[in-house]
Amino acid sequence: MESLFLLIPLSLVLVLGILVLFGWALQGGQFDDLEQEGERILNAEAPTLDVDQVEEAGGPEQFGVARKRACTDAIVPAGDPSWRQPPT
Amino acid sequence: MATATHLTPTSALHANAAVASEAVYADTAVRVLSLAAIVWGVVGMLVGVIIASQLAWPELNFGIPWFSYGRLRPLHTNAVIFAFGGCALMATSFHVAQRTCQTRLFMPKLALFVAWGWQVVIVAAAISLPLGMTQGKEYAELEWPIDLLITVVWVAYAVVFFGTIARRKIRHIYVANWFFGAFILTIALLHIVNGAAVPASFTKSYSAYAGVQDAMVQWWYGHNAVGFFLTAGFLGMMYYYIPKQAGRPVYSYRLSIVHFWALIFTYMWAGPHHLHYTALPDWAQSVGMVFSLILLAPSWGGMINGIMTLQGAWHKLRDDAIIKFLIVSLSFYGMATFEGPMMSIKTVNALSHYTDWTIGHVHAGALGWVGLISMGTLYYIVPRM
Repeated sequence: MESLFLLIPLSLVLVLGILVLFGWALQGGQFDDLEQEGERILNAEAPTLDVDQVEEAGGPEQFGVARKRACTDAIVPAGDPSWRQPPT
Repeated sequence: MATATHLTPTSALHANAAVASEAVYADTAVRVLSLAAIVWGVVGMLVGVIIASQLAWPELNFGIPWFSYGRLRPLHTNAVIFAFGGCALMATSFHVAQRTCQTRLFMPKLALFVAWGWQVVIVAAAISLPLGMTQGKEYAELEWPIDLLITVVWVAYAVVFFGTIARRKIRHIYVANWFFGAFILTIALLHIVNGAAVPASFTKSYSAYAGVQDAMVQWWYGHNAVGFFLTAGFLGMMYYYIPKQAGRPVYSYRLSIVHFWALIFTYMWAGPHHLHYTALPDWAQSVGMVFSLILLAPSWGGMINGIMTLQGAWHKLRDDAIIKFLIVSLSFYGMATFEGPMMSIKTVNALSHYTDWTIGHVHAGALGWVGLISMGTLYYIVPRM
């Protein structure tokens, strides 16, 4: 069963790696305030569009975008009537 | 707020032009890969129907070697797992990493290389497998030149994904990204170890391992391909798209973290359940059986977490097709992760091994879990592209 000479040490290295990674996460505060993190992805103010959707001349109707914008333009503030948030 | 020290205040996201260039995502690779996933899904499942038909009507190989069951079966498995599943995972990991880290994809051009490089791998598989070029290892049939290309593309994939995580604007790494990250790293390890081979010609190589040793390495690889490619990766998908579509946060974020660590640890040891009553030593078979049974717990933790996310929003199951796909996929995930541990029991395996039950089990997981969650996710993503 010679392959075990490879597999067992490899698995131990892997377990060590996993423990180091877990330790880093714990120390780095990854596990602080967990319930809030679950809700963060539902945050409606987060940006939703990508570079190809924020461009000049004519936008996809289904997003309800009144006019396209150049990449360098500022993202329109939430109160602007010419801009409707696409589905999140 | 006590948590993220460099979280951009949400009001600033709207007002600031300087933030605009960082806040806008790079999704071209997501588009390419989403389309590819759909195409390869159709192709892969079509090949599946063909070979299934050949089981009933063997004459459907038309007497030509390129259409024979032995050559088409790996084409089917590679197409549905790596082409369909792989493209879906790459697309969604790029999509999710950007939005959960609130930053643009790291090196979008490299991401495009990943997307198109992966298509080259798939096409090379589609050509080489019917030609009979195979390493003879399940889900690792592709010959060594293609394996090398896979390695290059995968390293690039890891660079793009982890680079995006490293540049995150939120300190916390959302749980889905942990699943995607584990999937990417583990597949790299599995591919390199199991792919070790001595080339004899451009189209033929021989495994670095032999006999029962090769079998053990192969099924350490094979089961972790299922556990990390088809499970961990798609759980990452699930943990983002179900909450987003349901408009509810994950039922228990704490549970998602606990079952993540339990899952990735336990899956590594389940491989021997493919080798019950073979020449593999008895103790190794027992280890595989025990860890497979333990695996039921973290798997069902994930299933329950995903389904219970609908708490307070069950009514959405009535009318929302996307939610139907996503939630039903989890029920199949539960079925397959109950059936699997049962089949890992040696006495049960004595009945099921080398029968169609194994294929049935695979398809409950592959079509029910992987297929449906990918479809629901693609229905979510495509209209937003």
